[in-house]
Amino acid sequence: MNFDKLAEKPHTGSERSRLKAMMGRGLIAVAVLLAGVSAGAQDWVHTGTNLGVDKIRIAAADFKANGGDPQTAALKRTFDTTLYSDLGNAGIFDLVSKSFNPHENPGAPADIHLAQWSSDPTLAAMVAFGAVSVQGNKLSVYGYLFDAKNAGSPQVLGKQYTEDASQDNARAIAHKFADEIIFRLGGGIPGIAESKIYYVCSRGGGKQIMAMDYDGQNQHQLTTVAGTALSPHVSPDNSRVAFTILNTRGWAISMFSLDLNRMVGFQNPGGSNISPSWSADGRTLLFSSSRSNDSEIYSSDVSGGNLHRLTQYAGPDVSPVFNPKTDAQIAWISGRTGLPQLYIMDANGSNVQRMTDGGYATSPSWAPNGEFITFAWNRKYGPGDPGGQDIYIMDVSSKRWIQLTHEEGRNDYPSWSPDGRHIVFQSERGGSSSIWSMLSDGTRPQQLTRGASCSMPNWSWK
Amino acid sequence: MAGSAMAHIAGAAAILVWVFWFSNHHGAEWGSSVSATGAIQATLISNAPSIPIPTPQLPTDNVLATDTPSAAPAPPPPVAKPAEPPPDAISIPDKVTPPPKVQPKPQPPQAKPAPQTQAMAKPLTHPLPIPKTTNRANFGEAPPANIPRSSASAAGNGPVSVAGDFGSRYGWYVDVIKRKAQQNWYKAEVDPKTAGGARVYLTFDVARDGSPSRVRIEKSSGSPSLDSSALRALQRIDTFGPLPAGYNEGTLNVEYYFEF
Repeated sequence: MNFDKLAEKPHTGSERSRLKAMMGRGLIAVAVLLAGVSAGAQDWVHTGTNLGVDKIRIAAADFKANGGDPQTAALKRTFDTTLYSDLGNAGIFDLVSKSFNPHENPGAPADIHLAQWSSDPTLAAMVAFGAVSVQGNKLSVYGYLFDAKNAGSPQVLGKQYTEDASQDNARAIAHKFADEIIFRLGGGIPGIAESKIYYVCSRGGGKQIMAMDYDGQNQHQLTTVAGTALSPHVSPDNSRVAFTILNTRGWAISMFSLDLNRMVGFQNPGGSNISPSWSADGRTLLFSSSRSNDSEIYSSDVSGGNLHRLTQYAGPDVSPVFNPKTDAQIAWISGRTGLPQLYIMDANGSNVQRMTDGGYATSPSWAPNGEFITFAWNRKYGPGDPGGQDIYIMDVSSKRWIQLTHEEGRNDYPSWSPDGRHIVFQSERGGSSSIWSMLSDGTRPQQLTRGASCSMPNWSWK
Repeated sequence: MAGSAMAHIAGAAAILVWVFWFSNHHGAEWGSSVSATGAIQATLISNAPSIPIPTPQLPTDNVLATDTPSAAPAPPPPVAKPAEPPPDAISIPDKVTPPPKVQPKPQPPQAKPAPQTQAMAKPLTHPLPIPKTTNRANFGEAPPANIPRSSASAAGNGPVSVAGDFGSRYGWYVDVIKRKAQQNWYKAEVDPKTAGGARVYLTFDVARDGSPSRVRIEKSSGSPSLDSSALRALQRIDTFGPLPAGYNEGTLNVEYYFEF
């Protein structure tokens, strides 16, 4: 007994003093880190919700014009304007007004004083800056993105671009740099600054297919067809535009090659064929054909061969679109029960579901993530009901919907952007029909075309 | 003998000559100060004073390390009780081994087993002291083995804590994770009867391309609907965007909590 105590006492004493020291260290460690025993080779990040997630406050500095080339000033102005509007349009930033920027014009990482940017009144979390120079008719841009609150290792991005000096290239470089910033800070969302919108405008009695940048710049005409060109839909690889053409021979589907800049062949089945759309793999076209005297949904390959009929009911079936996430489902408009309604089915024609419960629904577009469908809907259609036609989005799994436009004239032909955060549509607010875009929650509406009557926009896949 | 020594010296000389010859006449070398085109530029870590250098941690000598060290001292080790014969025991008389037949030689006196029987029969008055074992396992008295860690020093990170210096170097990426997970969490999926403030802790890995994988619940909130809504939020996320280019590990481990 005595032996036992004598043997144990000094042991416990030393253990306790060591324990105290360790617990001091240990408590801090445990508070910081709960799951401590890891391989240690990788880093751990511990985070959660309700931690005040706001939009990222970003400042875009005016880039510095280097060199004495007379073109530089004009190109720099285009670049600054485009970058600023791209970052604003992205919808994920709280963009600092340029008048709040500090009075410095950093052209390189050594020139910037981050403390000035992160303090009042700029209060930016991120700063985009850089330099523009022209040498030997080559426009070269250095762009940086710095984390203003991390003085130790502030650089998030550093990019260099060189192109021939032109206004279009200045815009293109700004789009690329903006896309890169959005891709990084948006957590992998694809930037849309390089995407295009295809649409229809009235031109000299007929209608032609047009194209423009996503922000309404660089509008130009693609087709010169005799008759009326309608409902363009661009292929996923941006190589072709399928559209409907109405002329003296009736309705037919045509194909315009963006690579060759001319029409290419498409074998139309008999009857009227309208509203073509592409699958996400670019190998299948969906369209509506009346070869059996009643318009039904058909699928075919890119040249019109390998025809399959997908719908069987009496009543018109039009405007088919694939679920671009899976290519396994199709949304379309059917008039089988009277007024046109939104339906979805599997890609082989099975498992038909009606999505809308009434009204007059048209022109669906499936979101890139496969979760939502946007469409135009007049929910109170009929005599005596002054319902407006508005843009809606519907959650496919729950069939719950949200109205995006309110009391702003007739709105139609919504089309998702490749990042799933914007919708382009046709609106008659303010008189004639024109193309508008907005964020997919209905905010930030923006008019893209003015003047001529334009309609039926389709946003490219990338 | 002399020939062998000569041969060894000749061999050593040949090696020396070879080393000198080839080291001086063999083109570019590693570590040479002559810069070549396409060389990799390395930045000294001492140029970035804000990067916290993890302190070297000695491993604990406890084999049973735990998160929750007990404040109580270790219970005393079990005392081995010597087997005591009951007081009324009659000692069994010694079995006398018969002398082996093959060996008629009488056994030496030190091989006699008599002292053993003496000890067995007599009860011990003093228990033997327990020898102190050095490799004994203790009872939860030490914190777990400390791996290098630091809290995020970048401002604006909120209560985000990280291991390693990822949070301080790439605070913006931690913000991306935070924002993206929150955006994809639909609170409407949670049973409204769930207690406010309930938290579910998830862990997942982020691959270099930014895709989350191995999503698992580390600590349930007690509300199945909250747990499943959190899992679904992570399943909705295709990518957080590629990991920062300067980060060299293959994956990033993330612990994330959703608070209702």
